[in-house]
Parts: sequence; structure tokens; C-alpha cells
Amino acid sequence: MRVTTLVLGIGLAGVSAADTIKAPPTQRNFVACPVVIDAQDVPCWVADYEGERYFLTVQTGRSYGVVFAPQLKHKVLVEGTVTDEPRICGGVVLKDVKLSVMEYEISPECDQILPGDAYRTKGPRPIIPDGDPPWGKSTAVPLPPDPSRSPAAIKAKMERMAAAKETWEFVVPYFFDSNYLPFPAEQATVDQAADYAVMTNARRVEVVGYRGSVILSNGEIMTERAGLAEQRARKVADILRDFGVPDSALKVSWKEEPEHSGGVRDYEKRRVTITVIP
Amino acid sequence: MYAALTVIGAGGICVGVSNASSARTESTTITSKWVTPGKGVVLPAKASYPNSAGTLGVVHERGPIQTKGHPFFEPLGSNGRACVTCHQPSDAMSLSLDTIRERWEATKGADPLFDPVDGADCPDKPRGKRESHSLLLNHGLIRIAMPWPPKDANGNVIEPEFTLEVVRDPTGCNTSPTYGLNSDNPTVSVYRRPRMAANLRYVTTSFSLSGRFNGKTGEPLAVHPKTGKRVGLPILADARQPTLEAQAAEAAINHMRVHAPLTDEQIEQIVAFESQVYVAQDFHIMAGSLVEKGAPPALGPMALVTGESILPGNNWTNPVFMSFDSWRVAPGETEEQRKFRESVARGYDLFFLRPMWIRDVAWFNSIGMGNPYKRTCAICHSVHLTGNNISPGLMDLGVNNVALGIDMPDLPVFKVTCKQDALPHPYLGREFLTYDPGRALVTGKCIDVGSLVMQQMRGMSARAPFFSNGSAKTIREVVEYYDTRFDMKLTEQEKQDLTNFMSVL
Ligand code: HEC
Ligand code: HEC
Repeated sequence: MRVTTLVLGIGLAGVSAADTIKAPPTQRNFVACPVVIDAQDVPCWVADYEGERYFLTVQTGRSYGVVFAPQLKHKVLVEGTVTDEPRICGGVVLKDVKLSVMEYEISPECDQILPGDAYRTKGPRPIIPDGDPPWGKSTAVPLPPDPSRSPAAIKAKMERMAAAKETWEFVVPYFFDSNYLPFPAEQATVDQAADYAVMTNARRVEVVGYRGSVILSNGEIMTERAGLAEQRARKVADILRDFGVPDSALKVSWKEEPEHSGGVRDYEKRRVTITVIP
Repeated sequence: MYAALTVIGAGGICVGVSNASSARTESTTITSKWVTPGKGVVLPAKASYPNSAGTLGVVHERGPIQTKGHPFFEPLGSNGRACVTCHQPSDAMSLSLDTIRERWEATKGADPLFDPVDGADCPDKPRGKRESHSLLLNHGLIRIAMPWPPKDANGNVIEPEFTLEVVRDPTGCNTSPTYGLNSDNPTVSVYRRPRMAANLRYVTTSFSLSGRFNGKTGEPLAVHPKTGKRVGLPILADARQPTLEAQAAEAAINHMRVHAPLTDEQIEQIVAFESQVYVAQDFHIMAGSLVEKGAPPALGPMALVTGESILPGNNWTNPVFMSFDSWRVAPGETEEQRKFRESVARGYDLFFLRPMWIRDVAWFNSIGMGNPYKRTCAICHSVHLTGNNISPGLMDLGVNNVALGIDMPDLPVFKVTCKQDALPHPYLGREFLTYDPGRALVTGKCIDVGSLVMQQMRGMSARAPFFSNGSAKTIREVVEYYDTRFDMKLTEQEKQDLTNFMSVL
């Protein structure tokens, strides 16, 4: 393994004032206590910011981990774009919403479950067991299948690219301040990268870790913990090694300088890229 | 169907046995339900052992077991114990508090079970005195000694993310200059219940929702040394050993004082034995036969022999304990029996269908479900027919936490202080009290403190008390725990129904 950058030190996520850049007015990037609403069929999650309520997600379950639900006892970072869709659970609907649980701090004040009989929400899982009960239909609305995730499609793509000895870049996204690889999507990405590297007997597998920052709607910039870019890169590299990628092919580096994208889709900068070069 | 059941005579207990498939009836008389190490008996292919709620059915899938010379039953070390000492057929291959007390009375404390190595509050306690064995005699707990700091699989020391301070030490073991945290071999003593060495096809598996990953932690799973497959973390409260083979090797050293490690052949024989024994309650004093025609199909040990293992059960396709419909409006010989059966069926409905706010459970609420998460008992107790969890099942329900668990004044208490740069326990933070750091004694991680692998839910009438630290003395106390922990607001009738349901499993 060759290590190209070395930055020492562990730090806390930092907040500073943004001098010039501001998120666009339709963007909502804020940190708040999440609130659960005990809506009919499935509970939903909302958060209040500057006198307005925003809908975050319905209760899903991790097999449907498209959106990871917030957690009481922790604040949540909300990043999303305002839409004019009908409100859900009384909250403004955000497009392309990303939620990050602020895991390093415990916030006991985030402890609200509100009654929600007036609201009806639909989620991919019911609150009773999955599937149709004997007395009728499940209240769940399954998510439309994502064809790009079908094992057959993945296998076909992998074989096609391997035959052409094509370079493949995999991008692993992260929650803010987190080095966690959730189930299913992020784990699957690392899995596939390892498979592709092993299958093509890759000459080089470049792992690059990044950390990001978020331009909050209140004008502040919130930056991920120092050292996180390195920790992310090393962890992914360790997993690739464990999954059979030879050390000699791995090239691991990281970029400590935090990046953002001007307040919209800042989350894309919190990532590790794995470039497999057959 | 079990025709002849149990006859309790003056000299001990007669176990009547019948063979369902051939209607051939054999009968074996066992002088005592206690299986003595090294005694050399034949365990019938099917037997029923008495317990306070009825009888437990034990099936050996491949026929009778000759215990003579069998490594699960022979005292292989110097203390006279065998595996069977703590994993008794009558006790669902675990060991109930009642049985422990009976052994104490019958042998005046001389049974190898009471070897101070882990059958006393601390190895330095004088043998033969009740007070020396208070945790075993009062709570059914065996001492588990874990090196601190932990070491990884290659023997390298893991730098823990937290410090442990002994703030209460009723057994004296954690502060002992010889055995304690500050001794030459720094050791943490925690106290745990023996777990069921049966129905293991439903428990041990290389299944993982996400292939090579531990789907919960996002880290790679260990590889089974023989099969080369990834293994889940399904056994032992802290999953410190990944396979039954490794567990048996460890048990022989820690519990049995063997002089040399077990041979591969012995280990193979032990694992083969453990993998063919199935247990479940088969008769209940109130419900009657649990295996007669028309009884709910998940009941009795044969359901486990024939059942498909490792099916997710929190769904309507393969419901955890199938269906209790046949008892919903129950036929029964007496009004009393009918009422009890209906109560059991309602209890299953509560288990399967009654949503509650599940909250503050690390490695459950913290992995994307959200905190709280509104679902039923079956979301966690989800494996079809056994009700354990293998996704992996590690999580911190709270039973080991001094604030969230049932009060256990006899247990040691540790203060956990997590380092500032470590991820804290998601709901308890960086400073809290625990009876047993659980998984964190293996990983050194603050987020793992208190996390445990849950057990299967079978044979419960044969093996009280419950939870890994024995804090629920009865099935009813388990129900009370959940009622408080998740604010379920169960009525008295509902509590009774849930209790009755679990008593027939
Ligand atoms: C002194 C009592 C004792 C003896 C002797 C003993 N065990 Fe255990 N066994 C325990 C305890 C206590 C646990 C739970 C430990 C824990 O959770 O950390 C356990 C757990 C197990 C488990 C895990 C089951 C599960 O589902 O998690 C298996 C399997 C097992 N023992 C098999 C054996 C075998 C095989 C032997 C003999 C080589 C043996 N035991 C000897 C007390 C004992
Ligand atoms: C958040 C997941 C979760 C939910 C929900 C849950 N349990 Fe558990 N349960 C566990 C865990 C973890 C353990 C292991 C605790 C231990 O061993 O100390 C456990 C242990 C048990 C045990 C003890 C088993 C034994 O042999 O010691 C029983 C019985 C039980 N649960 C029944 C229930 C019932 C009934 C419900 C619904 C009211 C329920 N559980 C809901 C996670 C859960």
C-alpha cells in the first residue's frame, strides 16, 4: 500500500461563518431536533426550522434505507430543496433530502412524539409484519424496484466492463461526520468494487477519501471532523483487502481540505472514491 | 405423539418415550433427570422431561445418543464437569435455577457444577459455602472472565475507546488483587446465564443480510476457518467466538479445566451432537398436549426437526411461530383448557401484531430504522420457529444498563467513560453504569457497550431465569420488563396472554 498524503490529528466538526457563499433561497440546510408524528398507518418524521415545519421521511426500516430515519436524543442535519408538493404530516416537502444524525452529541432535549391521528402516511413497510395479512391488504406501498440494483443487471454490467478492461469509479457516500457504511446501498457499492477488482485482477485500485462541509441556511459553514477523509479511505481500503484485493494493487490517499458544492448537494462531497483500473 | 409421558417415582423420574413415526414404543428409565457427566447412559431418540409447566420434548434427530465416551458428556478436564453439566436435556440444553438448587441440595455443593473457577462468585471463594456461590444459587449465573483490554483475533491488544471503573463489587472479583481489573492479568468478571445448546440449526449460520458484511456495523464478517464462508455473530451473549467449533474449544478450557485443547475429532463430535438435538415444550399442564393433532404447528420439538432454518419470520409468508389459529376458538377437553389455549393464541397475536415504540436500543434504532421505531416484538425476535435474531442479533436492549435494566443489586457495576473522540453509545452517551459491557468487552468500542446477542425463545418453561444476566426470574417478569421499557400499557389480561404464549414454546 502506498500512502500519498499524511495529515495527523483528530478534530471536532467545526462551524464557521461563510463570508461570500450562500445557499440558494430554495435550499434548506439546517440542524434541528427531529420530531416523530404518530400518524396513521406509519409514523412520520418532521423538523421545525425558523417557524416552518419540514417533512423529513416516513418510518421505513433499513432494508428500505433510501432515507435513514432520524433518532430522538440526537439532532439531525437536514439538507434538501423546498418543493410546492402537498404537505405531508403538516410539513413542507423537501426534494432530494439527506438526513444525517448528529451522532457525536447526545441531545436529550430531542424527545418529542406528537399525536398524529389527523395525518395519514404511507411507507414501504407496515408497522405489523411485512406482506398481506389474512384479513386484507398490507398498508405498505413498496418502493418501485430499482433496475440498476438488480443482481442480474449488476453482473451483466460487471462482465461487460471487465471484458473491455474498463476503468470503473465507484463512489461511496457518507452521512455528515460519519464513517459508517450502512446497509444496503453503501455496503453493496464497496462489495461491487471489490468484486470488480478481483474479477479483473486489477492492476490498480485507487481509494481516495474526502471530507465535506455544508453551507447552512443561516450562513454558517459546518465542516466535518478533521482526519475523517483519512479514516474513510483507510477503512474502505481495509475492507477491500479483506475481500481479496491484493495490497500491491491498492493505492490509498485522502484529501483533508474540506469541500462543498455551494449549498446544494453538498453531501456529494462526503465520499470515498474507489477507482478500479483493470 | 407422546403416549406415555412422565412418571415421577420415589427413586427419581421415569421418562416414558414413544416414537411417533413408527408407533413403536420404547421406554427408558432415567434414575434422575440430571445427566451426570461420565455416567454412560443412552439418551432416547425422543424423550419428555418434566418441568413446572408440563414437559419438555427432546429429540435426537439421528436416533439415541450413547453418552459413554462422548465428548459432550465425558468430564474431559480435571474438575469433573462435562458440557452436559451446564447444558442439560431436561432444561432445554441450558440450566435452570431450580436444577442448580436441586444439585446444591443433592450434593451439598460438591457437584462439579460448583467448581469455583466460574461456578463461584470468584475463584478465591471457599468451596462448599452457599455465600461463595450466591450468583449461581440466586440467579443461575456463571462467571465469564474476559481479559481487559481485549485482544483481536490475531492476539493484538485493542486500545479500548472507554475506561471501566468498578463502582460496586458485591462478589469482590473485579477488585480482587488476583482476579480483578487491576491484577497482573487484568480481567473483567461478568455473570451470564448458560444458553441453549439445541435447535442450533436455527441459530448458527453464515447468513448475513449483506453477504460479506456485518449488515449492522458495516464491517467485514469473520471467515469460517473450515468452510471459508463468512460467519454471522449468532452465539454467546457477546459473540466472542464466531463458530460452534471455536466455542466448544473455549468452553473446554474455561469451564472444564482441560489440560490440552480438545482434538479436532472431539470438537467435531460435539458440534455434530449439538446440531442434531431439538427441544421445545411438548405438554403443558394447562394447555394439555402441544403435539396432538390440531395443535398449533410451531409447537413441540418435531416442528423444529422438520422446519426450515434461517427464514425471516417477521412477515405473513413464514410467520415466526406460524399460526395459532387452531386455538383461537379452541377445542379443549375442559373449559379451563379451552380458555388457556385461547389466551395463548391471543398472546401470539400480541407478540406478532401489537406495535409499540421501540426506542433507545443501540444497533437497532441506530442503524437506519430511526429512534423510536414503531413495530412489534417480531421485528427483533424474527427467526422463523425460534424467535432469535441473526441479522446479526447484537443490540443493546438495555437489560445490562443500570438505568434501563431490572435492578440487580447482587451484580457488579462498572462505570463506563468513553473517550471524547469516540462515537458515544447512541442513547446513553459517554458516561453511564453497566452490569455487563457485553460486546464491548470484545471490540473495545463505546457504541457496543451493553450490546448482546439475543437467545432463541424455545423451551422457556424449562430454563428460567431469563435475559443473559438472569434478571427476569419468570416469563411474566420478561413481559413486565417490556411493558415498562417500551411503555406498552398492556392490560393485566394481555400480560397474562403473552406469558401463557411464551410458556408453551
Ligand atoms: C460451567 C457451565 C458450562 C459448561 C461446563 C459449558 N457451558 Fe456452554 N455455556 C455456558 C454459559 C454461561 C454460556 C453463555 C456464555 C456467554 O453468553 O458469554 C454458554 C453458552 C454455550 C453455547 C452458546 C449457545 C448460544 O446460542 O449462544 C454453546 C453452543 C455451548 N455453551 C456449548 C457448550 C459446550 C460444547 C460445552 C462443552 C465443551 C459447554 N458449553 C460447557 C455454560 C457452560
Ligand atoms: C429491539 C428489539 C427487541 C424487541 C422489540 C423485543 N425484544 Fe425481546 N429481546 C431482545 C434482546 C436483545 C434480548 C436479549 C436480552 C438478554 O439476553 O439479556 C431479548 C430477550 C427476550 C427474551 C428472553 C430470552 C431468554 O431466553 O432469556 C424474551 C422472552 C423476549 N425477549 C420476549 C420479547 C417479547 C415478548 C417482546 C415484545 C413485547 C420482545 N421480546 C420485544 C430484543 C427485543
